[in-house]
Amino acid sequence: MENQPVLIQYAVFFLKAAGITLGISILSLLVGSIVGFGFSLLRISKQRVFSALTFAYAEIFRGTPILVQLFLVYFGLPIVFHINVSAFTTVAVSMILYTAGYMTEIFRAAIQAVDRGQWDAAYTIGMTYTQALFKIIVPQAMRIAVPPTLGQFISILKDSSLASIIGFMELTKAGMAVRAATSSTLLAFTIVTCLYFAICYSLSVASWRVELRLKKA
Amino acid sequence: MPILRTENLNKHYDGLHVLKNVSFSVERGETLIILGPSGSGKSTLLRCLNQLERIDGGTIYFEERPLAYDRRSVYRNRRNFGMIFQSFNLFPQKTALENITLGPITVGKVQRAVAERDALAFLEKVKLRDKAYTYPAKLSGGQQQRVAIARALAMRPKVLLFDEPTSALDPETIGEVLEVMRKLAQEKTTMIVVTHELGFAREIAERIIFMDAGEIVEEGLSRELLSRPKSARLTAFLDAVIHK
Repeated sequence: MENQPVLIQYAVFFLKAAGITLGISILSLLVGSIVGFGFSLLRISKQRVFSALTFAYAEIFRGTPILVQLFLVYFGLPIVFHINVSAFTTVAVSMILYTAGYMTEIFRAAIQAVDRGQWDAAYTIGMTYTQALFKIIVPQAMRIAVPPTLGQFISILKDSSLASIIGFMELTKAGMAVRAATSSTLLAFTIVTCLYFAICYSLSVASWRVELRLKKA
Repeated sequence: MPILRTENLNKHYDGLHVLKNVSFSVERGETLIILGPSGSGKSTLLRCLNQLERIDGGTIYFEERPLAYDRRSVYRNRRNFGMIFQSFNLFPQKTALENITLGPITVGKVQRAVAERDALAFLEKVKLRDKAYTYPAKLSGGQQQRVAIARALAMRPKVLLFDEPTSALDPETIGEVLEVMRKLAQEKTTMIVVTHELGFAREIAERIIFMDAGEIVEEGLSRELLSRPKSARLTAFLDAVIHK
């Protein structure tokens, strides 16, 4: 029992790390969603330049590994702009940009999944494009977007483990640190795995509930 | 002076010629019925009138003024028309009342209280006063379509366009929708109705237009046209509809 304080120390360490993983994921989902929503509106716009640019954005960020994007920001920014970026800034910027790419597509698909007849009905009572979009289409699209957004959240949360590679102290990096300090590899990563699973599974359960409620309403 | 008149309307869709030199006119207070097999261009014609679709050639005159296609003119012209769709297209996240008041409040800049009082009167007219606070999902097809009619009326359009208003309905609820339309016709509302309900057409329309493959094949007074079709295509169409 003499090493109990040590165990508690490690437990706190792991939980803090899990909190950071969750926090950075929430941050990128929130900011990424705001950016992605704006981009999705440009993506469906009839202005070719806007739709082409946002299309390219979404495809590039979805079509390259987030690890490579992390490296590009981490090693690239100092070379190009002569600024040193902290691991946190690198991870936050990369994950936000990456999530924004996915959210652009999720919102675009959701907006286009709303029945065409809703546009017709909005137009025939005299609404402008902007009124129809924000008063009729977007509220319905938001509901459609909820399940894929929660899926995206789970996926970004797991992807955030890659931030460990550039030394960002999130859950995976915490596992590596404990492994180095205690040399009990199996235990350290079993705990890490359990924590990831606990978070992701709770999110899955939450998303099933939300889907069920959306179906009923 | 006709309220609405078209001259040689033409429209193409993915290489298909869906409207071919369509010319017709509607008088104020008239109910005009458009008949025709599916894919004959009837719906497209209606959607061109309120500019949900663009035309490739020809001119539409509303109150003898040719329609323009800049954004402002399009929005202004749409307010001359109310449209009722085959699939109702009510806003699912809004109650019957909110469906009706949305246009007057956001587009017409009418005060909420006034818009609601009006909406209740229109619901009364379509006999759904008791469903004011019900969501579309809880209404039958016939009820939804009557709310849709009330929604269109609330914008006080000069012409009502009906795009197969009873085609998606259960037989037992068709009557209640036709009933409302009959009343509107009696009140001399200007209506253009695309339908397959021949009995209804015979009863309320003075004139009928028969379209096939994007063109007007026959046009005439409803009784004559339905009982003595001149063209083989209309004869075949009437046979098919009656013996369905």
